[in-house]
Amino acid sequence: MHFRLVRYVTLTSLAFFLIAGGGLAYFYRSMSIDNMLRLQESSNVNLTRVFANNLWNAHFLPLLEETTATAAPDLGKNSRIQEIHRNTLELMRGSSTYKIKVYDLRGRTIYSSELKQIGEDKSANAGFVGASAGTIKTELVHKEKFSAFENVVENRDLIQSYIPQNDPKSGKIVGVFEIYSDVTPFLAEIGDTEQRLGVIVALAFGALYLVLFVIVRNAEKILKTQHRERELAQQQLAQSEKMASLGQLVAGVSHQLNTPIGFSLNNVTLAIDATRSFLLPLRVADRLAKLVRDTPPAERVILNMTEARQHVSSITVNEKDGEMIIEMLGDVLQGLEQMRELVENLLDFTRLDRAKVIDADINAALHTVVYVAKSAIPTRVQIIEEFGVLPAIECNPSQLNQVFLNLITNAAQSIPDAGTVTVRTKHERDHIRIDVIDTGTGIPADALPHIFESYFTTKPKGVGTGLGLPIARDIVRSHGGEIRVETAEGEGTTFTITLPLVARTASAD
Amino acid sequence: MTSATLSMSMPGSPTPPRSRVLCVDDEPNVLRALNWLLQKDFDVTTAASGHDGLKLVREASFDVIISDQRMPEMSGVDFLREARAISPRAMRILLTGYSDMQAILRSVNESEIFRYVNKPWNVADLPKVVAQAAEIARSLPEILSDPEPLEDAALVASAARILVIDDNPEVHAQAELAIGDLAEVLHTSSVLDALQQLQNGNISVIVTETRIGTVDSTRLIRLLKQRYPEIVTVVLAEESGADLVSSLINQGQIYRFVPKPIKSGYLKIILRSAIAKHEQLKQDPALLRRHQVEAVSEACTNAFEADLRSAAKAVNLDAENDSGGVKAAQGFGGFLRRLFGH
Repeated sequence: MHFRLVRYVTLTSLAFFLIAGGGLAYFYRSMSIDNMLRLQESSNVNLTRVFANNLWNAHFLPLLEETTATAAPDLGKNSRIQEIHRNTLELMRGSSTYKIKVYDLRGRTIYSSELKQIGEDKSANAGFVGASAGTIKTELVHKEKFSAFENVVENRDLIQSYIPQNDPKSGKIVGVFEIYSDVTPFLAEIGDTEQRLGVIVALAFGALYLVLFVIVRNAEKILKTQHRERELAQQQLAQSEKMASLGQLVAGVSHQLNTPIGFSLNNVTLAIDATRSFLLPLRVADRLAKLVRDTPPAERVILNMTEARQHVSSITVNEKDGEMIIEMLGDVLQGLEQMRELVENLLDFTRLDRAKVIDADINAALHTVVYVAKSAIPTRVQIIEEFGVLPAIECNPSQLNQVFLNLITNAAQSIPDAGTVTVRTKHERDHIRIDVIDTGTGIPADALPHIFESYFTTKPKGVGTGLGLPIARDIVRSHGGEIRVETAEGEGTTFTITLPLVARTASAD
Repeated sequence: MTSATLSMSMPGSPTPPRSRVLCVDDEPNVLRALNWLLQKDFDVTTAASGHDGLKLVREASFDVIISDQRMPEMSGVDFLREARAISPRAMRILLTGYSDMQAILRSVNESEIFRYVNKPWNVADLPKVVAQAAEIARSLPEILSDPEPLEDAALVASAARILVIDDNPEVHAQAELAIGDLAEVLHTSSVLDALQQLQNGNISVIVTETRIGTVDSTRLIRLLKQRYPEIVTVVLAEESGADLVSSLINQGQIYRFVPKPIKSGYLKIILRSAIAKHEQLKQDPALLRRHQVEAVSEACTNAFEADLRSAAKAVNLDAENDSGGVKAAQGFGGFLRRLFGH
């Protein structure tokens, strides 16, 4: 079987599992992170509010006002910074917040919990730009190294939020608050869950695959068994096809044998009887001849017929009887010749013991097949041989004979009353062409596309196996040849076989 | 020539004209052989084809026609059917080396042949068969034709009794349907019951299978024809073989052999013509000679008797109280002897 079911199922399920598992993991991760971001953002906003309540009005608003005119490098020198810093640290200690920054509307850092960053210009930062326009901007960032309040932390996942801050009186945005909070543990948990999920999914898919594997392997086993059984059945049918045509052949051949046997038996029996009647005249003639030999010339002999009279007088020799015996035995000789010819043709037809592939004269093979077929087909069908001059070709004559016999008997069977089957051969360039032309009913249009299909037959059940033509085509193809059909309903059918002069493929068994 | 000299040597007795035999075969060797075999006793004419044969049949009246089956253009069966139409009095013998089932069936149903002879023929027997056929043909020189199909009224008047022997109820229903009220149909599903009916007498036509249960009923057909040649036999068979049918021709002179299933219309035609045939045979018993059969061997009779005994035993086992079965089992030989005169 060319289709390896188990292999294909394994490959496709693996690909499917990888895609589905990966997709699931990705989906889970992005969903969890989205969730976390949203959660963290609102917590950052809340935190900001805490800071704002504690620090904004009291410290940052005045700082903002005071620093409007201060040049960037000098921002850190503002007197309020120290107090703000102290308060800030107090608020942040023990929380997951690592850093806070405050920007004025020009993007300058007026405060950072990392004091040396005060004065940096962040006006081009997308987060800042967004927040200064009134939108909270949050993103997840990974930092290899990060200076937190009191120490430097490594390898951290952080949520960075830019939150606009309003003037409590006018409600206008006056600055931007930036807050970093650590989500490394959250992310680790997500990764953890993701891994666990991966294991569960892998286990589930593994179990599913195992079940599939068992089912598919069984299915494949069943398919293989069925395939074997079908092949066996086909072989048996092919065998019975052979046997059926053999049976037909045997019936025909026995008729062809019974005819010469019949008249030979008849003639020999009659000849024996007739010869017996010559025994007495021969004995009398022999005695007479002896007497003549023993008697010197010119001497007279007197025969005493008293004793022999009765016997001798009963002799009546009809000379025609002698001729009749010769004719009878002559016919017997002809009968024997007919039987010898038949046996020879039968041997030629089967060639069971001969080399499988030989240089063969196709015309001779066809003549033999025609001879054998004549005994199996109705006598109202006439077979005409129109053979051209053919070179010998390398082939398996026994197989080709089977094909020829099949085509000729098919042709004869398609003729309801009297008709002809013409077998014509021709040498054309690099191949020989064999036509089997009948004057039968033709092949109906709905049957024509199926005639070379196995088990297709228009004959009654038990008569045709539907394998004759498929086998014929296999044999012709194994010789590197082709078989074609042309048919006209009501007029007849022509099967054409072309065989290459040089065998392209060695014929199979 | 030989016999001419012989007749001259006996001038006292007038020689009856010799029977005329026509042999048809496409093989000239066969024709010559038949001529050599038969020329001593018969006036032999030969033809190499059915067409030539028909020409001769139109010109002269033959007593016996022997024909090969496998011939180009016109088959033996076709030739004999035509010959029968032209010269019904001639006895027909089909001589063939090829057991073609279709041909044999047609030889029964269409050509109504006297004997079916296989090639190679028996050199001692064939002249005897021909002589018997010739003698029958000459004893009935008048032209015979098929009996006219009977009108319904005539059919009813004939009070024909049809005995159907078959273990398949469908066949009985079909027969009943085919003949309607025009004749009495007796139904039996075993050969034992059939024998009872036959003993009651007056059966015109038998419709039978070749095998009923364990009993080979073809033996019944053969035995019956010897004793009651006027009963016309129609065989409806599930299975048929060339040898079976040819032996039923030669030993049973069956009227028709039809493979099952049979179409109702066909059965109707067959039953009507079978009744007509029976009427014809009854009115002109001389005709019975035309259906003379080959002698049935002792072995056949014995085998039939053994078959019936075991069948009767089986019936007994089935229904111990069935008096019919018991009766059939007891004194069986006597029963058969009464029936068949052995």
